[in-house]
Amino acid sequence: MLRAQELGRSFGDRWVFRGINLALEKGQCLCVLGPNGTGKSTLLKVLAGLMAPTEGAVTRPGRNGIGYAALDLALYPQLSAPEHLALFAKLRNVPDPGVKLLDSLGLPGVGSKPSGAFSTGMRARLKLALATMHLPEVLFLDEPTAALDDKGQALIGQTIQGQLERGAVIIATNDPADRSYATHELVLAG
Amino acid sequence: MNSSWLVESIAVFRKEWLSEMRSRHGLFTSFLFSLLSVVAMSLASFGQKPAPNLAAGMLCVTLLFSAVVSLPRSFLVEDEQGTFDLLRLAAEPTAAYAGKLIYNVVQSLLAVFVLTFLFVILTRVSVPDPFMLTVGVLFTAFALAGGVSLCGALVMGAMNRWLLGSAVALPVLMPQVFLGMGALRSALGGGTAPEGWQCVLGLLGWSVTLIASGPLLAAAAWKTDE
Repeated sequence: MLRAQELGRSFGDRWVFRGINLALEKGQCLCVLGPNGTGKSTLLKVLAGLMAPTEGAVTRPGRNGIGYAALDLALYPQLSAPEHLALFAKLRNVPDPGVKLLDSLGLPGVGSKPSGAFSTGMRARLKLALATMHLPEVLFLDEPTAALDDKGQALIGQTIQGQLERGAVIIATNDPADRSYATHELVLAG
Repeated sequence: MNSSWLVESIAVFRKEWLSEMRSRHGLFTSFLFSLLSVVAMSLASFGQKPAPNLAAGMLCVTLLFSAVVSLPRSFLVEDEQGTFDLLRLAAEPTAAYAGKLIYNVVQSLLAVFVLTFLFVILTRVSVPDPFMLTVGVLFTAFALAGGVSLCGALVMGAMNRWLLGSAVALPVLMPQVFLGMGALRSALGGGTAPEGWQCVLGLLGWSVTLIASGPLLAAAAWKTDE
């Protein structure tokens, strides 16, 4: 599903990571661990195709095979949650899941409220909805539980379990609880 | 171009339109700045009609600046608010560009026709060939939207994007300025009709070049892998 060969990324003279080889198959969950600033988020961006590697190559599914949710991923502040779902359903050429998905992700009744007025936790839930609405093959989650309450964290657990039945998951995290989902771990030391 | 590509483009256009209608940053900036320019010019020429050559130059510069201050926003704001990654995770790059370009064309058409109308009224300049003025302004709007969209897309993600945008805009917008000026000069009575139509045709060709090459150049600039 996802392969990386001799992957490396540098900023100027400083290598964030180098020589990473990995292969991820259906049902596997890779947990990327490491202290702040060791390149966990950068690795996820390179693997997801949002950032070019300095060296090496990644083989990944096409655009619709990837779901990505991260703390630093912004939403359109003027658009409501249903408008986000409608937009991304059209971009991904899938049916609009609408209010049903929002309800299941703990966002009932957000209606026409623009996402700019959402709390951090609500934004995280909407990003999760956008990352999973097209049933991707590989789901990338960067610090998925950082902004969520207990219910939200349970939701992440359910999402990961569901994803593992149809594909793979890569999580970048510092939260020890997230390690319980891992079938493999990669520790970046910086 | 297939139906899915078209659906994506229209979805991006709709997103731009909804966002703009709710924030009104682009339209407001464009109209306020341009209105100020037109009022300043009408005050400067108070009591006398400006010569056709001068009027053509003033109108062309007003249209140019109204486009430059507002049209790149649809691209640069994605970078500034951090939504570009969200968009390119889901959208085909050429479709995303096309959606934004359509939005810029609509905004550019609105701006240039309102500004031209205000300019003609406030400066009391005579228009011997209104048809050429309409067509010249129409293609100027297309060329401006195409040129400024291309510049915005190319400098997205750059560290000094506004500075770089100005540098890229110079060669991209220069032909449009010359050709637009020629068409408007003839429309306002400062040149012959054949000269004017030649410039209008040039504007059409330049617009088509910018609009056709934009999606491919933007997609190449946004590419992150391989």
